[in-house]
This record gives sequence, structure tokens and C-alpha cells, in this order.
Amino acid sequence: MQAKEIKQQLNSLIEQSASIDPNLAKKLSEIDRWVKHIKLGSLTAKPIVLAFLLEVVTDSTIWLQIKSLPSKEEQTARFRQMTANERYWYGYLFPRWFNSTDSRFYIWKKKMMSGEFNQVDNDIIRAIAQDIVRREGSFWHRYIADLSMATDLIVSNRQDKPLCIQVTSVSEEFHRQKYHDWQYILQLWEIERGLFLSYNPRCMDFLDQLINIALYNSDHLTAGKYIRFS
Amino acid sequence: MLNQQETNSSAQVDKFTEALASARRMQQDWLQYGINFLHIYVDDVEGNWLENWGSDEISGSDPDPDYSLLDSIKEFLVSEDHVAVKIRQALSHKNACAETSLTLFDLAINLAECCKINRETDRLSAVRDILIWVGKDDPELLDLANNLIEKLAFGS
Repeated sequence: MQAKEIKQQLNSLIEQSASIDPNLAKKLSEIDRWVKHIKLGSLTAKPIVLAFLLEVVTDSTIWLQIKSLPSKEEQTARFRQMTANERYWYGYLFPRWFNSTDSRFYIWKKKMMSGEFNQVDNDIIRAIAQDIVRREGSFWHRYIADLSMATDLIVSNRQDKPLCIQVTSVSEEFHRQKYHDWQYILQLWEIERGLFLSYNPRCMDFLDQLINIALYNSDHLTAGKYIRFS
Repeated sequence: MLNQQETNSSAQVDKFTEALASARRMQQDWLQYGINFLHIYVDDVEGNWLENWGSDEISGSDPDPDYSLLDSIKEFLVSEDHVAVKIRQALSHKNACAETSLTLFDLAINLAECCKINRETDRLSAVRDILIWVGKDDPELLDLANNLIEKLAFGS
């Protein structure tokens, strides 16, 4: 597909959602206008913007397919086809996002444009996701969750209880402030539990530890808890 | 009629299943290739698509002036300008103390409304009221409100 087709898909979703879910239509129009006015600041920014758009188009399509089903029972049946992480995303976080006035949305463009998406952190996050799958856990990765909800991955283990995690290599000096900001954002979105993992890139065996902690806490962390490990 | 409804429903189920499968496939490709997964789905990732975004749309569909005003206010509020920084501090202090969750977006909407007031004194007093609302009730309030109006007028 050509990238300009994503613009066409976005337009068509705006049109469809106007009658099915006006708040989604509003959010998609906002994204459309935002992209139109982007001034590129970094060469790495273009793929990130495109990945974000592809995700928004995919997620909105799924949401509209569910919302346009005539009965509650049929809608519930579609949610039952999903994994626990997907259900948490499409049934809770994604609609919360487009129904809200997300103040962080306006900080995104600065973050995206300045190439603040740290490639090293991204590789670590992907390595964690790969190992989670190898150990029969599951994950969900969303740019919206990363940018708005301070969540790098949503992780589930045996008990199918999605847990939002943030992974960071931030130095001790800024660690405390970042942890507080993270907790504040999660509470703002009414995410009821979360895990903040910071690692030392010089320590080689941190990956295994992070995955053990993530999988264990996905099953056992109680609601209302926002814990950190470093 | 019932049959027709059933057919519509099952077509929707197929579209849904297809869309969900596509989301999962992308996730899987991201897992394997990172951000380069895009190249599987889009031929011209590095092309001029962003520069040309919306260029073939009729100019009448451009954002209305209200939207541009709101946009520039939002831009200003997240900037490093000292007035914007002071306002953000006041807002986060209010949210922490009063357990409210006012966002910069809420504030921007209210300020955009103020900017539409024609009479200068009324406009100043409306902005001052908003600053009181976010908790910026201190001796430098009038200065801050004046500065804010100046900045916003410049920004729009």
C-alpha cells in the first residue's frame, strides 16, 4: 500500500464514525489536522508517525466494527474473541483515550518530532516482549499507550490479568520524579495497577529479572498498587 | 428481514475478524522487525506522503479560525515560555491540592473563548478569572494575565 492510502482510510473512518461514535470522529479529525501541520524535525520521525497512524486506523476499524453491531450480546461476543490484553485495550483503554481530552496528545508532536523515541529503550522493550511470548505470556504494544498513558507494554500471564508496565533506563537522579509522574498518569487514566521497571544498561542479566518481575506481578499485583523495581 | 439482518451481522463479524487478525499480524511483525515492520505494509515510508498530507483537499476544508486559535493556544501552553511554565505549575499544583484533573486542553478551550471577547477590559478580566480558577491567585496575577493576553494575541 502507498502511505497516502492511510490518509484515505482515515478520511473514510472519520465519515463512518461521525454517526456511530462522534467522539472517535472528533479525535480522528484532530489527528488528521495535526499530521497536516507537522513540521518534521527529525529524520527518524516519519516512520514513527506512520506507525502511529497505521495503529490508529487499525484500532478505529476494530472499534467501529464492534460498535456497529446491532445488539449488546453480539458486541460482547466479539470481545470474547479477544485475548485479555486486547479486551483491556479495545474495551477500556482505547475508548477512554478517544473519549478524553488528552492533554499529553499535544506534547506528542514535540516528542515524536524530536526523535525522543529512544531506539535503545525500544529494542529493550521489544526484547522483553519476545521473551514474554517465549515464556507463554502475552503482550500488547501500542504507541497511544506509550505516548499518553506512560505504558510501554501491557502484559498478561497465566491468569489473564493485563498489567501496564513502563521500562526505563533513567538514571537514579531522575528516577524518583519519573516514577511519580508515571504513577500520576496511570491514575489519571484510571489504570488500576502498574509496574515501573528501571534497568541499568551495563548490567547484562537484567532482562531475565525484568521479565520474571513482569510476569509474576501480572498474576499477583493487587489493584491500586503502582510498584517500581530497579 | 431477519435474514437480511443476519447477513449484515455476519459480514460485520468477518470484517471484525479480519481487522483483529490484521492488528495481531502487525504486532507480530513489530515483534520481529521493530519499527521496520512498516515496510511490509507501506511501500513508501520515506516518501513525500507527510509533506503532501491533505494537499489534494479543497482549501475550504482547512481548519476553521477557531481551531487555529485553539491550536496556537495549546502550542503556547506546552512551550517553555516563562508565562506558560508558570501556568503549568499552577495547574499541576491545583490538581495535586484539590484532587482535580483539569487538563491543559480544558484550560486552552477556556482561554480560546476569552480571546473572542472584543472589549479589552472584559477580555483581561475573563483571563484573570481563569487564572484564579487554576489557582494563580497571587500579587503577580494581573501581570500574568496581561502577559498571557499579549502572548496569545501574538500567537494567533
